[in-house]
Amino acid sequence: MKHYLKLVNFELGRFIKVYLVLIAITIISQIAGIIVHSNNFVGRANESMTTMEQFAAQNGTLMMSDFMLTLWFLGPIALCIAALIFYCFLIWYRDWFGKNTFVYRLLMLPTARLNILLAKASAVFLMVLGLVSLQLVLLIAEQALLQTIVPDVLRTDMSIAEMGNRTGFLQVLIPESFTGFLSNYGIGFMMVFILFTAILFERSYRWKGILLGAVYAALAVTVFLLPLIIQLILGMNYLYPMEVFLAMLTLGILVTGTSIWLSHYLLNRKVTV
Amino acid sequence: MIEVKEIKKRFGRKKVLEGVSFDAKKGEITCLIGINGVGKTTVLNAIMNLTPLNSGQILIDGERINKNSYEKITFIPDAVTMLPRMKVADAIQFMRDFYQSWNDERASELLEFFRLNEEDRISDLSKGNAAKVNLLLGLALDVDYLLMDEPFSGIDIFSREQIAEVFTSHLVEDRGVIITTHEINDIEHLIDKVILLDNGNVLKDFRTEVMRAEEGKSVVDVLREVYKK
Amino acid sequence: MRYWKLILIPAMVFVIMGTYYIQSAIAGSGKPEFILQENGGDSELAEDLLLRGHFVAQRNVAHMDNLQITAEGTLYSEELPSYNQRAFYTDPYIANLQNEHRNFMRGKVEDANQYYESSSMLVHATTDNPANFTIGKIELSIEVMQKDSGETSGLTIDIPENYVYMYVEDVRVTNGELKVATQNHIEGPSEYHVYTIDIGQEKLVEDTLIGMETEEQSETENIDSLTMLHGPSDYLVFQQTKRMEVPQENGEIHIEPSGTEFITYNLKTGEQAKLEVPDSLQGNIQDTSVIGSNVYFLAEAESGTELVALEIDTGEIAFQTPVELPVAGEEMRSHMMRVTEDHIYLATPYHNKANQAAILAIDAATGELVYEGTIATEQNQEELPDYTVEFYQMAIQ
Repeated sequence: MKHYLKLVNFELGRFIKVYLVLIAITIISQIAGIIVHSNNFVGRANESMTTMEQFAAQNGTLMMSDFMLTLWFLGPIALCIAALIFYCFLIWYRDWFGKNTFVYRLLMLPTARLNILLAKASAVFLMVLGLVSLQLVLLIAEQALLQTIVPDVLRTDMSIAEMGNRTGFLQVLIPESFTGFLSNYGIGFMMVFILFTAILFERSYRWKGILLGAVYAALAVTVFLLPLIIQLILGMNYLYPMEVFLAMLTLGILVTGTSIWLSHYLLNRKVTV
Repeated sequence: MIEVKEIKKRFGRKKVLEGVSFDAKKGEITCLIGINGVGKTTVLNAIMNLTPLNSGQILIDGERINKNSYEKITFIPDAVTMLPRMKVADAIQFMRDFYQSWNDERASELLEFFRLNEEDRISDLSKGNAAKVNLLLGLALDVDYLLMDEPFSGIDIFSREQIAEVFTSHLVEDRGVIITTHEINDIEHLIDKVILLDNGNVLKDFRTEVMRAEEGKSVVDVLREVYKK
Repeated sequence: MRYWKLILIPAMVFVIMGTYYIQSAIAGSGKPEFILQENGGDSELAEDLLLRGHFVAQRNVAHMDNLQITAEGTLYSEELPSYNQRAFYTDPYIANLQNEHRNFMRGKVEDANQYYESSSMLVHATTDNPANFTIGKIELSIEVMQKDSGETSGLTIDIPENYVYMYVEDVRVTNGELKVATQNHIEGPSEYHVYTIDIGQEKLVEDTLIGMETEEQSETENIDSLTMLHGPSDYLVFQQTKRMEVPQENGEIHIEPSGTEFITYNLKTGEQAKLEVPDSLQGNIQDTSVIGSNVYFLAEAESGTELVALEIDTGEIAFQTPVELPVAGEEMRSHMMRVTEDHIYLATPYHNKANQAAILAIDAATGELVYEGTIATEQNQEELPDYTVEFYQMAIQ
């Protein structure tokens, strides 16, 4: 456990600079964006020959969900998503490649090699959740900024849930319900473990491993989606919703467990420096 | 004792090890010799469970390698195993964090002996100093067995002498050492045992003193003989 | 502090996410909590009532929420787990069947009309339609479950004629014979058929076409249409609406209903009969249903909307009672109607801050108003942001 935590800290440390840059870009872009966007809107309202009320009636009021579809807002999110997906690969491959092969050190640590896997997965996960938390705080801050810049008549205030409803994608990142949060990030965690297993297949068997990894990933996803596939074949309501849910929950745990077990096996028996 | 039993290893179609067996005792320096690409490094990797074998078995004090073994045996590869951005002090801290067998006194001693600066970044080190840091990180562990892969390759003459000096010191004393090299001259007088690898097989396995006493040949003589054929 | 990353990031995630979800759990959605408010009559009649609709907040019209209002209060879709959103569309009758006969109901259509249930058996009939809307052979698949043994038997009946599409509208069992009412399409308006099936012999005994008036195939034929009424009765009742082309002042031609009559099919005798609607009530007849031996419908009378009960056997009006349901704004949708064996429930399909939806229950035998209620909110209406609710289902749990 101590080794695991130290490894997580270590993995976080190795990416922290990039991570802080991502955070900075997100904050700067979104805060600057909301100021520019709000001021533009107020400016247009002021320039128009009509009263504020008439302007609002003609053009609609400004709300967070409008801003959330601009590049100011979406750009940094897309960047962070791309960076973290890239990081999922980087977190393994940089140990093998480059002048210094850190993988020797990692594999020779007097700790279960599974801890290396779990630490890497945890680091990815903490960074994802950290960014999502940041986004949540930023949304509140941005709405507060919008409120100070745009007068009452020209704006419509929204709750986070309403922003989610209106923009769609935010509902994936910050689901309205806690169970939704658990299931979204549970699936995310499972996907990370599947990807890690595929990477370890490649690291163990090289070219052949790419194929094995791809086959494993496809198989794992298929198994997880089996209840939905059954629904497609046997009719949309062959399984009751609760059954689909329980089956997917069980299969999700099974797939995650299998991935971890396989990774453990590969790390202990097959991986090569 | 490290026992290597009939290990076989293929890379794709290429057979690298075709049933290599030997053992290395504590308190002795065993040297794996052979021309480049003969599989010396693979043997060390295999002992450390850093590469899977196709068959065969390796035992360390009668046990298969497990996570606890890494407190007992360590490997000093021919490249630095720490991140480039780390300072020497960070690398030492990392070792201290994870290894119970880490010995701070010995680390300080080695820092002084090698005249290394703790504040230097790994990436800024000269080749010789990088090799010394590497050696330091392995030697400062209170382990029974040390594996070293080509500790002298590409290093200036002064560093080489310094490193060779280590072998005669208390830093190595009582430990079991397996060392691979193709430049035997620097350490010939230190070696207790030689394993000569060729074509994936053990060509010769002899103790240096026996060879000297019975046949009057040095290790270099034996090598010369073998490669003349 | 070497471990700041390890402490700070999880702590930040935990505090921010925790605060968000705990706070939203405590504060609720801020949406109106609707209740059934009794304004008169027997409140017990509203106990099993269930209204389902779409909730749309005025400032966020792009988003629609499902909600369900019962005597217990309001349930919004986000309060149900995301995997179970289908529950908002499943008729409570079907939901009960699914609970009680889990395996029999597995994979079956969620249309209450396709099931027949007695104390001893549960029957389901459905069709396999030809692919891609081409004319072809259609089979009627029937599954019968004996409730005491749980034994299920299935039979398929080949429909003698080919259709493009056939849909089961009602299933009944009388005197050991199965009656399946279907809507059949080839082209033009739908035909309604009643298929009589001998379950024991697994054989089609009779194929009855509903609407016998073949002699009236005038130019108006194309715009006549049949629909089927549903309700607890020994009759299958079909509503025939005649439509007429009415030239408008601007030269356009509108098709407007010109007259309604009912066709009844007596399940016991297999006889069809015509049930005329008195001329005085002709016009915009809507919300038709059937209970026992009466057909019920709403008609516009001089004094306003009236619920009319027409006796099938005699063709006489059993009662005529005024119905006062608010018409919400410009919404022209007809009222919602749901019948039980004893009562007719009517409700306004639309609710907003200015126009509260109302619910009425009327005694099927006497025409007496036995329950009167409105949809109200627990919060003060004035403090709520603007919204609309459009109901799509009224049911009895």
